[in-house]
Amino acid sequence: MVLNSLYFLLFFPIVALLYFALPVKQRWKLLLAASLYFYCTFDYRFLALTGISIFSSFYFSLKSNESADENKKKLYLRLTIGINLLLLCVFKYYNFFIESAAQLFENIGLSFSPALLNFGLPIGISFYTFQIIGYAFDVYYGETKAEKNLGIYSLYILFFPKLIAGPIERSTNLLKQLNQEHHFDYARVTSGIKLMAWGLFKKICIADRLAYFTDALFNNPAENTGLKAIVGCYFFLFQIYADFSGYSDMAVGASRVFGFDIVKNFNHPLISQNLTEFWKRWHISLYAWFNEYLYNPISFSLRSWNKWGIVFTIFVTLTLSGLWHGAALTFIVYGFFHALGLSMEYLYAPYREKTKTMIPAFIYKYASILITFHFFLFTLIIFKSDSIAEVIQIISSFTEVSKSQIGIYLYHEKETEFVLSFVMIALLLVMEYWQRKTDNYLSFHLKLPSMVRYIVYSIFIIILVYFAVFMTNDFVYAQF
Amino acid sequence: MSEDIKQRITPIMHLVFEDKTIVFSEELTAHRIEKWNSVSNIIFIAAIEKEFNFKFNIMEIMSLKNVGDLIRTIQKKIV
Repeated sequence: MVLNSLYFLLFFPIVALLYFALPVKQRWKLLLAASLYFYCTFDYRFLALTGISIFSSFYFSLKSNESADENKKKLYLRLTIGINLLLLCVFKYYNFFIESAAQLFENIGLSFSPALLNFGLPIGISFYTFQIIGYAFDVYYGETKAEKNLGIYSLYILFFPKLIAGPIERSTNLLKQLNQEHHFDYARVTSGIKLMAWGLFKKICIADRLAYFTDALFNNPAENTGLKAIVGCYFFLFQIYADFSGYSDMAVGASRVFGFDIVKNFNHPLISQNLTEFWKRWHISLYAWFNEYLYNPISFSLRSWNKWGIVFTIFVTLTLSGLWHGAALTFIVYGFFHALGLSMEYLYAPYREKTKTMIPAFIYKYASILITFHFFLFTLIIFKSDSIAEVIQIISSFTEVSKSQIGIYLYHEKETEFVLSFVMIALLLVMEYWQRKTDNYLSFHLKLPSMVRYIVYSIFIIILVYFAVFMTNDFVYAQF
Repeated sequence: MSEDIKQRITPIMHLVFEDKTIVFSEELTAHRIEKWNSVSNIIFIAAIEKEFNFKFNIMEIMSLKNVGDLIRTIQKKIV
């Protein structure tokens, strides 16, 4: 059951109504039952596996909290990390590594047929595994006390609005809130529903519309050259942003309805002036995780290497964050290029500061935004492609622009969709601009008379249904 | 003793975070200083170790929440 399905549109209001009908102290039980049901709609066979992750981390964190012996605490932390990373590696990375090894051996004349696993993936495994490891670290460092209620802890891991694609929640945020009482708050509930509606619009009206063109390019780059390749790449950037931030808005909105504040995963990343700023604005919860639990400890232990310790740590962290997305060389290269960009940014910071003083501030600002935007666009081509050869094929075809391609007839069979795609991107950017100006960007209509307000709602629903692309496309990040 | 520590770490903060207007306070956190990021944080920690001639361990660093925690950790290390 994905968040953009009709099934979810039925499921969510039923859960919300039952939630507020129950006594406050019993509500978490309903959310846990709903989350388990939500999980099982994907594949109930993996429930036992996820159960091992939940129960082991719950038990070892409790033991860690009870123990005063530093060595035992370390052992419990290592056991939690070991079990969870092992499960993640087996289900997500085993095939990639065994096939890569087989390829390597074949190249030196030693061929063997690797035994592959065909289990599929437990839903949200990359997200909940990282959340569990983060929790174990928080308990170890004394940031949080181990949760004593297995039910509450299970809900913290499986909470359905964020199960499929995050955000990766810190225990200091969501777990704390799960132990608090939440009462019905009309303004909160309606603001959550509006955020969900806007997230749904971004997914089904913007991202899925752009997917027509990006799928055409990345499924068949040989047939989509020149301007089609260029437009397809730009469209993919806006598609993945509308898709993932749309999902995040739905997750934040749904949680808000129940009374919880989960972290925002995006903070206007497309206006970043450099990569350091970009990674504080894009997929915030994942990069905060890598920063907290990987970058900080490694760079701390390598501080005697001075700036090269920092550069080395950037490469380790960003390359692994690329691999987190999936078992493919393209994801590793995606992370590697971001590491390269960030390292250059760090090493050449004094020169950038000097340049800044030499040119007008507004030119520096907009040039920085454009450079960062296009660097990200370049890495997204790697992210989306099946192989490095495909990346080269797509980029080298950029020069094959012909006069006949210029105009709205670039896609003969989909002129209307093509024009609409630009309108939708413009709408996305206008809303982004509006959101930067005010946090109440979805509440502009509250000052209007109630009759006019209902007309606004009705118009929005008509637009949502009329312009939706019903392709039952899953969210891009749900595959991770 | 904390006054002495404060006097010694304030210039380090000014230098590492490239901002001479930073006013010392125990509640000060990285979020409130523009150039206090994960990179400058390591440089800051290394500079403090050099100034006070000791080494932090990872547990001490990971449990710091604000400058007040840092002062208390330094106090414990230099007694």
